[in-house]
Amino acid sequence: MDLIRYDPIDILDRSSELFDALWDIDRWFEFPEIRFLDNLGLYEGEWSPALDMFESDDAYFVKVDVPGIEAKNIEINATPDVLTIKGVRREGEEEDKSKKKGRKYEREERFYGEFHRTVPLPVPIDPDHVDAKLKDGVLYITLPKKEELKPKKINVNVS
Amino acid sequence: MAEKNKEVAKRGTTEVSRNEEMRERFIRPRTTVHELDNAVKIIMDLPGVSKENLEISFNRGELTIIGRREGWDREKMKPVYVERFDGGFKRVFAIDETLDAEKIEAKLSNGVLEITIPKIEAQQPKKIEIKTA
Repeated sequence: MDLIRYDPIDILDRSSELFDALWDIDRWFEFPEIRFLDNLGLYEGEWSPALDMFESDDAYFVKVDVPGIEAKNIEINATPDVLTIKGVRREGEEEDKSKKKGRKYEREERFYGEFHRTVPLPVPIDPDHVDAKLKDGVLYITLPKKEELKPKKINVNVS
Repeated sequence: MAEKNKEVAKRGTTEVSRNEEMRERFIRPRTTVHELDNAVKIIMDLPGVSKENLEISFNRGELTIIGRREGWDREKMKPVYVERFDGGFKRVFAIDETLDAEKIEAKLSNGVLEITIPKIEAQQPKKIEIKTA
């Protein structure tokens, strides 16, 4: 392998090439990175917001990118095993409706419409204590794990 | 510099380092551009990017938007699913001379950035009155 000098501009160039290639299925083989699309679950709604889930010993933490969507248009349901997030993003929701008239599109990359995500939870959570908040277009959900399933520290007694 | 090069060469050779690279990679936020009668609007999805982490500049006909968002505390938490990109991004738009770069306005709300660039007066459509004789 050749030594390549670290160059942030080069990374920029590469990433825009990669994103351009996303629109052209014939070029996908050039970019093994595109394989991450396999896991996106893109086919559940009209679009699918990107979602992260991390865990600590006590809880699961979820972040969902929902830019421009008001809290009243998002519905979250939790059972011990499954988290469901539903919502809708309306075109021009963040704009003044009166300005909508007479505009022409030059470029449209953003998604609109309904989305629906179902997230299976690896270990049961307590649905009564799920907490959700919306900030800067990101939905933050905290799902505490069921008490009896948290790892317990076991003391070893020395006799 | 030699040390640094070695590190770069090492990256991308294993699965772990590839993930590391993915996380550091610049992303391209989804953007809508549309033209109104008197202005051009650039609307960009920037979920999780606060005003403090966003920089918009105009220079020599180029409007540059640079920002970043904070990632997870990977010391305290383990990933289960990861689909979002964290880290930096940059997008550059060419602004031609029919637009008034002096009057660019930007508004960030609920993770959406809205930039309005008015057209120069002379370029705006004018309604012509028809006089009847």
